[in-house]
Amino acid sequence: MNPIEKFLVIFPSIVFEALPFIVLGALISGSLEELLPQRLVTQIIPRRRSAAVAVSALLGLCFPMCECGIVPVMRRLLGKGLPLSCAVAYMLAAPIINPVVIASTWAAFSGDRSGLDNLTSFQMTFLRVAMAFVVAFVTGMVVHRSEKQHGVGALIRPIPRHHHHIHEHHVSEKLAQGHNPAPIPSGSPAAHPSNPSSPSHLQTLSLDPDNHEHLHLPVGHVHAIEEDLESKTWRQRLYNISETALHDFVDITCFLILGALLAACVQTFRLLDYAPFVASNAFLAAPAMMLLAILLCLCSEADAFVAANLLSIPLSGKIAFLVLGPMLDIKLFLMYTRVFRRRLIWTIIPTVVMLVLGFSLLTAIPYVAEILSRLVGRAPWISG
Amino acid sequence: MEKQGYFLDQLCMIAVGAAYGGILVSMFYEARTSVGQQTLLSIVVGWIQMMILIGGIVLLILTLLRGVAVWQLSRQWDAMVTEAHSHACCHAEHGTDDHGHGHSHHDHSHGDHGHSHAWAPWRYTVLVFPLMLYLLPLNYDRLIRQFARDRAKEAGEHGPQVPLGAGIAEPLAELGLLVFAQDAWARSWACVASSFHMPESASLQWAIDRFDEQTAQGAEPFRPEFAVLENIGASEDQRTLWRSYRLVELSGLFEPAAGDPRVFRLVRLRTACCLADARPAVVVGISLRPLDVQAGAWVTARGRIDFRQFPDGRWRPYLRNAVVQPSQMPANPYIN
Repeated sequence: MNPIEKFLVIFPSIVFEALPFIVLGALISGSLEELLPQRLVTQIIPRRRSAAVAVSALLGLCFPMCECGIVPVMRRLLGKGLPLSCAVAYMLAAPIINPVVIASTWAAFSGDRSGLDNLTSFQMTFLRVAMAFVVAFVTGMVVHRSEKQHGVGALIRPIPRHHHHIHEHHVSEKLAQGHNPAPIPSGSPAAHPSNPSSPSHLQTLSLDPDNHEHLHLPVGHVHAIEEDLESKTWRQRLYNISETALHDFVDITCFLILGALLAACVQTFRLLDYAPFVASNAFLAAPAMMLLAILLCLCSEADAFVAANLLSIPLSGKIAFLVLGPMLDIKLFLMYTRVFRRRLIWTIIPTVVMLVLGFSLLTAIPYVAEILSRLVGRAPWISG
Repeated sequence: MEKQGYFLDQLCMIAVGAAYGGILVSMFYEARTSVGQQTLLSIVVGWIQMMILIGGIVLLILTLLRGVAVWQLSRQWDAMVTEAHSHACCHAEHGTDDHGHGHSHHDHSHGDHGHSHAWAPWRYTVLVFPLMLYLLPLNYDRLIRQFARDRAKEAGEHGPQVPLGAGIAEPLAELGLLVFAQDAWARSWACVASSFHMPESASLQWAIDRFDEQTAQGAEPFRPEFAVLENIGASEDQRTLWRSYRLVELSGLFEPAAGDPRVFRLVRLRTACCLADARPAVVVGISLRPLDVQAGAWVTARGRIDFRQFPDGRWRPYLRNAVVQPSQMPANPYIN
């Protein structure tokens, strides 16, 4: 089988596997945008930021999403006033901490295979979920610090909105009320249209030369929507949902395809087969498997089955693969560039990578004792 | 100009959405109508195929709604533009006053905005690429089989070599059964072997194999899960239990082993979601005679399960005295 034929199998399989989930993610993001009241988000989340980040990291238990579909949903939640740190924690944790992935991890590690690391499938699942939670939480708090330092505007790209200018109005209201503790520079996209002192800010934002979104539509349209805000018909709502959903679908799919192209090229070189040779050492295993997770772009429901079958790879490698894969890979990186600015991406990636590396190496420490005990013959601190 | 750019972008979006929706649904339809053949949809497992159908339908509905909305907007556009001009005149001063400080950030926010809404042909070029794969006349039945065989070959290169010339573990127990065989030759061999106290001899082995091969034709076989077989054999109890199944049937892709025409591999792909995460599962089979089966064909192999310690130290099952027959592709070609 020549490389082109292999590419022709792997590339569509990555794309078409993710597509239905992106469609669903786009549908949910469209519905959120249209139906979720702005105030609800700010009311529900806890006042303390650390508690809010922790709750967001567990949000996947109620709103399961896989990692392809989560990017558009997270972007809409961000637009609805969910603080950036919470959105990042949700985005990182939800592809792992959700019922579907927990069940699939359990299933993958049950049976004869689990005995190898002396871990039951329960322990393996627990380890994965706990590590994902800690990584997401800490990264969320790091983002929170960076948010305070630089402001949201320097970290995220403007959230595309269409003719529902009313929502901009809500954002500006919320910001004016000071729900968001971060001082936001006036030039930031979220704060940009906000000028609560101006009674006619709806019109001004439409004329703002920076705001290309709104230039497309004549101002008169804003008036039309503003008038029937209360009595928005279900048909208008459906139109709005379809507009946001279709936009998000096209927006994210484009980057999914680019990521899948890269991943398929990489997979053509039979990377998975070399894994056992590279990663037989407990300490080399973690970084090697992390690199593999980034390059392979597996779905978070499938990667547990792959990891469970890599029998010769030590626990540290498996757990690094399982935690990093749903948080960061080639296609996710390209999708992140649609939402985050460079500064935030380069805050998230090193934090996540260092945390995962650190924690998976921690699991390898019993192996240190074992190696030492083999070298020394009998290690006094083990036998007691 | 503004109007043209906006509508061009919207129309492209609708066209891409409709094309994807249509192709997702027709992929599903194509897979349902071509029985026993793998299509483009076969690159994902069953439940994701259902998701693809649902995704396609959702996408078509969304596109339809959006199409109607854009069509209505285009009819109202001219009326609104004239109204908008009057508003624009009134509020132009407001805009510059209120956002005077905002302009310092103009440069970088402009760059981000530009490609999100201006008509950007490169994005649609990228989006069309996977659609072309569906429209190109590619034979995915052949491609996927070739892919599975390649994975099996790669596993064979790295993995332990296929053993040859294995003997049955408990010849005396076999002898008892053989006495009741229908085949006259097998019975006589059993009698001769027992009267001369030579259960270990090669001739007895020959008789047992022959007996096994004959029973494979008529009897109702036990059909174990392919996925189960890969992981059995770690303990002696398990091996004894599995050896007691005299006749099992497995189906998979036929892959001849290099060197000996009697040895072959049955290959299935373990697949959790799609072929990108597929790993080969292999069960080795040994036939009594040289096999003449096309490599890469779907076959069912009947034989008995036996175990052998492979060079890497693991006990693995293999199919002994196998009879191989070509068959249809199973309803679910993947295992997990």
